[in-house]
Amino acid sequence: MPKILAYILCFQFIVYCNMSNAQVDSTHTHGCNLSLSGIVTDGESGKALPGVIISIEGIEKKIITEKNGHFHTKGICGRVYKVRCTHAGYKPIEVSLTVQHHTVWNFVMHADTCEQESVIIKTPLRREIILQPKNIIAGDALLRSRGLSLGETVAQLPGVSVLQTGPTIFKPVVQGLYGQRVLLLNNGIRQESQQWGAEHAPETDPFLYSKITVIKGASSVRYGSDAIGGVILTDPKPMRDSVGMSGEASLATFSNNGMAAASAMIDYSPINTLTLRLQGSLRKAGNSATPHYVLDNTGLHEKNYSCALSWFPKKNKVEIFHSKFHTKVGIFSGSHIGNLSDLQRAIASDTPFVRSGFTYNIDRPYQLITHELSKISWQRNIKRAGALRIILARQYNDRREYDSHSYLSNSNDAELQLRISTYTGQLSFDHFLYKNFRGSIGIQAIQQANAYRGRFFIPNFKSLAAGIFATEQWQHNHLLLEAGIRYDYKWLQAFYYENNYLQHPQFTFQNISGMAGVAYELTDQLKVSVTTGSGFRTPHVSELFSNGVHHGAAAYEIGNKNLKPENALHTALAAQLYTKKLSSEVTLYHNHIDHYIYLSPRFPATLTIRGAFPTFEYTQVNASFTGADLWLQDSIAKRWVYSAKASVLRAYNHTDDAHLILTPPARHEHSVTFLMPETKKIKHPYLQISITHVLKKYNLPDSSDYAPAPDAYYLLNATAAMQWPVSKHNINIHFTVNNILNRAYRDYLDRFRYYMHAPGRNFIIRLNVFFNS
Amino acid sequence: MPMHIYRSLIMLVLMIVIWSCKKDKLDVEHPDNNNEQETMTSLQITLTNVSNNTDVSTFKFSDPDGMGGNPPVQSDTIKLKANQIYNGTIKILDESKNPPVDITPEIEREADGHQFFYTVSDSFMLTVGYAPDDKDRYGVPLGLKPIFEAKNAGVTSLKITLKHQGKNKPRSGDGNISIGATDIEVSFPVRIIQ
Repeated sequence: MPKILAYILCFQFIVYCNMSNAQVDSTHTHGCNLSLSGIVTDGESGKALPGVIISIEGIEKKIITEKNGHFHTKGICGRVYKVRCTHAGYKPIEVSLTVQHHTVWNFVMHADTCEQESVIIKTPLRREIILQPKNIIAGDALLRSRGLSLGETVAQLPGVSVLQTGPTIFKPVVQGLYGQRVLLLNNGIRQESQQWGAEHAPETDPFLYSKITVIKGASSVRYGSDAIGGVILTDPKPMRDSVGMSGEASLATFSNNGMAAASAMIDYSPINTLTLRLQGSLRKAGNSATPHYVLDNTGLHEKNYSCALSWFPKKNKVEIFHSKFHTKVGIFSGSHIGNLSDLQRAIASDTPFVRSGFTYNIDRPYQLITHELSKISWQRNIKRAGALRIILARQYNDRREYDSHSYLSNSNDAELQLRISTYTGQLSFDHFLYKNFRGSIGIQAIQQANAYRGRFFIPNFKSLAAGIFATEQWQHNHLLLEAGIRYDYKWLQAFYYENNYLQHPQFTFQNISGMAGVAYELTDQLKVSVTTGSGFRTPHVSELFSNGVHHGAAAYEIGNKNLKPENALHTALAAQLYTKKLSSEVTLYHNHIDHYIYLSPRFPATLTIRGAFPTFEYTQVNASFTGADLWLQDSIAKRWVYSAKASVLRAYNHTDDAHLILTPPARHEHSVTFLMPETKKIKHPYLQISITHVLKKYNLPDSSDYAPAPDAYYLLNATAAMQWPVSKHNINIHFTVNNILNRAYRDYLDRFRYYMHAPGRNFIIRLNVFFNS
Repeated sequence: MPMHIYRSLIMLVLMIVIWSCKKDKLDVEHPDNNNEQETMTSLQITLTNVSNNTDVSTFKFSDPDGMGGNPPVQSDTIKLKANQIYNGTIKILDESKNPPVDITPEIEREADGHQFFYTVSDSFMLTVGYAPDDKDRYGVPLGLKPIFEAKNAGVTSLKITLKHQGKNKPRSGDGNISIGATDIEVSFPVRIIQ
């Protein structure tokens, strides 16, 4: 049972085939005496795959690949066939083949991405050995998150939480680190916007993705500087590569804030080697509501689109991608305060002073953000040597922040406008398996220009950075070793006025990072790995040059031009157990960061005409983040599955012997799933009920915060899901209720917890359909 | 497969890409000079003794370089005579400019979204109220014309708060200091002599 369920619950029937080469035999024959043969290999390891089932439309006999991955069949006619290959643990491949000769066709299969998030127990599959701890959201788990932001989507993973600014702005937190320290690779390109701000959410459209991977821990070698907390990789669905049309459509509605979200994606291939994709999504939400009151001005209007073109001439693969993200986000009006007295008044009151009813209108204060990404990539396979890849990309981010009032001007301009343009280039070479070795080398370059208008927050700057890296893996039987090294250089020049004089200081930073790891398969079911990686992050201009009142935070923040780069050393010990009944992953980690940059209080407070402001200065300390992430799934009885997730973290400032603030409190989550029997009309139905317990944050240094950490809370959520087949297409239906008990609570990582409670009960309906013709 | 399909698809995508790319010529090397922007730096209060028109005094809080930077340069003590009533007028200035700019008319214009509040730590010595004509369109006080009633001799303090409340400013009553964002919050020491 589990095996079948595992298979079907991996909803992602993506037709994905990666042709390595197609050759045509010169013997020209007609009639039904042609042959079809080839080799099936694993896309990750390059090894031949035995036991793959190849079914050819119109031919009853199933073909199974031999020990060397080879297959051969005769009696094929000269016409177009649909050929499908399936293998447990791999994504099925379907391809339309025009057979006119004796045809040799090789298939490359890719491991299925439906890892732990499918709600059932999987049989121990042949999995790629993972070195660095990582988690993937795909398949049903992603369908269940449609309509949510990226931050909310990844927060369901163990060890990942979210830093919130009210009910609309979410920043992912990976093992206690966030902002610039967590790199986002959006469709392979490092997202460059104004990530330094806690109220700046990543500007991406999650509807575009079919897979989101979170890599935990410092990973600068592979992904570049700044990745000292982790990396989030978002991947769109692979482009189809056979003639035809396919697509996906999603709809979601949320009761709490009246949100409607819709998305559609269409792939069209006029020929096997060319595909065009168009995708778009809309999200519109009104004011959120807590159990006792409505939150004024917390709506959201978002419009996104993307288009892509892929072309696979012979041994090449060319992709052009363009996307535009546009959002208008309301900021809770009760949070726009002027000084500390306002903040203290807000904290002292249990409910906000500003009351509101439901509306979709967004008033001041709000943010208006546009993010554009254009990318072109070219990959060429070089015979027996490897694959050469070039990626060029341009990003442009325009962020406008409209304050609650522009008391000294009557214009409707934004009080703050930040524009940043980024050009990135990457050249890499992955060599094929050679004597158990696999690896890649590459260079990366990034050029940036940032300009502001309006109230000063961060100065204008230009920067140029380059890195060179090499990684190598060695695998033999059950042992895998990995090592890598990287060198980075960064130049930065800032432009700003000080006492009416233009300043333009320059900075240069350079660093060498490294990583090493070992993984061992003790048995088929148990794998252990130890990895260590270093990372570095150069101080951001906001940390070097801030000088002013941080909006809504009632704090005066002062930058420090003498900051050094942060250096992190992340060590993780991970164990993965996959048996028929029980699956589990446990990760223990320790991330030591030298020169960790944070805001430390400075006395006395800054006296201004707006009152006295507590003052903070960017300071460097030695800090460490030590914790454990656990995930477990157990089929407790026939049709019943129990699963659990837990994360604990101790974030410590060794220089001052104190705990660090604004790090996630311990949390654990338990769920029970009932896999209901199927009927003719209803496929794969299940019911799931889950309880989340977030503990109170303890050990915070005295007077480190304006208000004490909120109490622990429980949340009860439930989901019912099924597939409904309608004329060959499956409609996926999810019905979810979050916060069933309508609890009033405040979350420690919500920066607006001073002003308001978290939203209350939320009924969510999601519809999703994949189609293929 | 006909080449024109290839070409037209590629052209279509390229056109969308080019068409939707904003011109991003950023003038990085010439940033805004924020010192040229208007900012409130000073609050000046003029008190006229109701029973003696020649008894006029002016008190001031001034931080000419604006938020942060150097500490405020002037922070007067308000000196009043006991058992006297004073008519006050408030002036808000931007003294970072030369000559200083008077911002008070802008606040007057936005009376429906602003209010001054006067908080005295000891009402046994001093109370501050609003003049009857010192109101916005809805009859809620604006507070540019406070009336000071000095009672008993002693030392106390007065906190003057200007709240920007925008559309959330109450439409009736005497106002609510809890709403909105603080634009000004200045404390003056007060000395009342016999």
